[in-house]
Amino acid sequence: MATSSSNTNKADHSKNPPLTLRSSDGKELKIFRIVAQQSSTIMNLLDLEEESNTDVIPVSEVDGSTLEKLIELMNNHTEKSFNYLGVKERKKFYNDFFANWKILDVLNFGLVANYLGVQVIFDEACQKMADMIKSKSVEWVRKVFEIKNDFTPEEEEDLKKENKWAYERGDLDDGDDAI
Amino acid sequence: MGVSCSFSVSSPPFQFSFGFADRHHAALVCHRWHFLACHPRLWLRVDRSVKDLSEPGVYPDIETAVCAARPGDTVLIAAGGIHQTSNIQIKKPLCLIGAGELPDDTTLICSRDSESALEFMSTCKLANLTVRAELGCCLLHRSGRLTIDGCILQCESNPLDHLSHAIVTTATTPDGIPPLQKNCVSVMRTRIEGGATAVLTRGTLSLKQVRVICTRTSLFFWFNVDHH
Repeated sequence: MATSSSNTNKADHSKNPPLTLRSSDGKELKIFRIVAQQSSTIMNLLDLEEESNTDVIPVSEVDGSTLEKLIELMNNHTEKSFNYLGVKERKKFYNDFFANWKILDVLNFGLVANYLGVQVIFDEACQKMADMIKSKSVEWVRKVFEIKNDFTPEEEEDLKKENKWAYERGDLDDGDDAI
Repeated sequence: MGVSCSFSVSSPPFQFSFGFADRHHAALVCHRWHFLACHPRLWLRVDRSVKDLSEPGVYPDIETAVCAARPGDTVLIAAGGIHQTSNIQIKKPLCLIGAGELPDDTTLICSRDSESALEFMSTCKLANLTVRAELGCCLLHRSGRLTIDGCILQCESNPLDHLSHAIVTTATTPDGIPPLQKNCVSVMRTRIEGGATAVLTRGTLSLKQVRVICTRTSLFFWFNVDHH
C-alpha cells in the first residue's frame, strides 16, 4: 500500500480512511485524502464516486506501475520535511527520482501527472525532459518523439539562418541511451 | 510504463519545457514546436508606462526585464520615448527587439557617465533598435555571438566624441579545438553614425567582410568581427 509514513498523518487516518484507486490494469492502490488533494482529477472523480456510492475510484487511463510511482511522489510532497527543502535540495531530490529513466518513461510520467492534475510533478517532469533533450539534435528529437518534419527544405533553411545567432553549441550527443 | 491518454507531445502543456531548454533549437523540430517555442505571447515586454510588476511579462525598464528573462527569451521594447540604458550586463542568451516599425521608433540612450548602454557576455541578438551613446560606446561585447540586425548606433557629436565608438569588443579567440563557444559580432543593415570608429577591437578579433551602402541621408553597414 502506498501511504505516507508521517506521524502527522496518523491522527488523520482514523477519521479519514484512505481512498482506493484502481488503475487501468486492475491494480488497487491506497492514497490518503490529504495526499490525493494534490490531484484535481482524483478530487473530481471522488465527487462522482461519492454520488454513485462505490468504494473504488477508477483511474482507467493510468497503469498500476506508473500510478504507484506517482502516489509515492505525492506522499513525499506532503511530508513536512519536503516543504523545507531548498532549491538545490529539491533539484537533487528530483534528479535522484528520475535517475536512469528513459526519456519516453519521463514523458509518460509527465502525461500521467498532467492527466491527474498534479501541476508541481508535471512541471518537474517537463523540466527533466527539457534537460534530457537539451544536448540532442533536431533529428534525434523527431525520432524519439515520432514527430514528422513538416518544414519544407526552404522553410528549414530560412529558420536556421534566422536563428543562427542563437547557436553556440558544440557537437550534439545523439546516443540512444535516453530512449 | 504506459498510459493511454488524449495528450500527445504536440499539446499545449509542453510549452512549459521550452522556457528551460534550448528554445531556438527546439523550434526547428516542426511547425508546432516552432509555434510553442517562439510565439510572441511568450515574449517579455518593456513598457515605460508600467509602474510596477503587477502584469505578468511586462516590465518598466530594460534592466528589470533582462533580470527576469530566462535564457533564450525575447524582450520586446516598446516604441516611443527614451529608454535610459546604462551598463546593463547581459549574461544569458537573449533577443532584444524594438517594437516600432522602424529602428528610429525605439531609442536606448546611454548617459555620459556610463561605459556602454549594453554589455554582452553571451550570445544575443539586437534588432530594430536605436542605441545612442553620449560618451563611451553603444554596445560593449565581451563574449558570445552578438548579432546586430537593422539597428541604428549613434555616438553623439560633442568635444569628446573621438573617445566614443559604436561597438567595442574585448573578446578573444576561445580555447579548445574546436572552441565550444565562438566569440564574434555580426552587423547587418545597421546605420552607424558619429564616434571615432564604428568598431574598436580591444581583444584578438578582427574586422572582416565590410560592405557599405550609401543612401542620400545614411550609411548602412554590414560587417563581421571574427577570429583570424
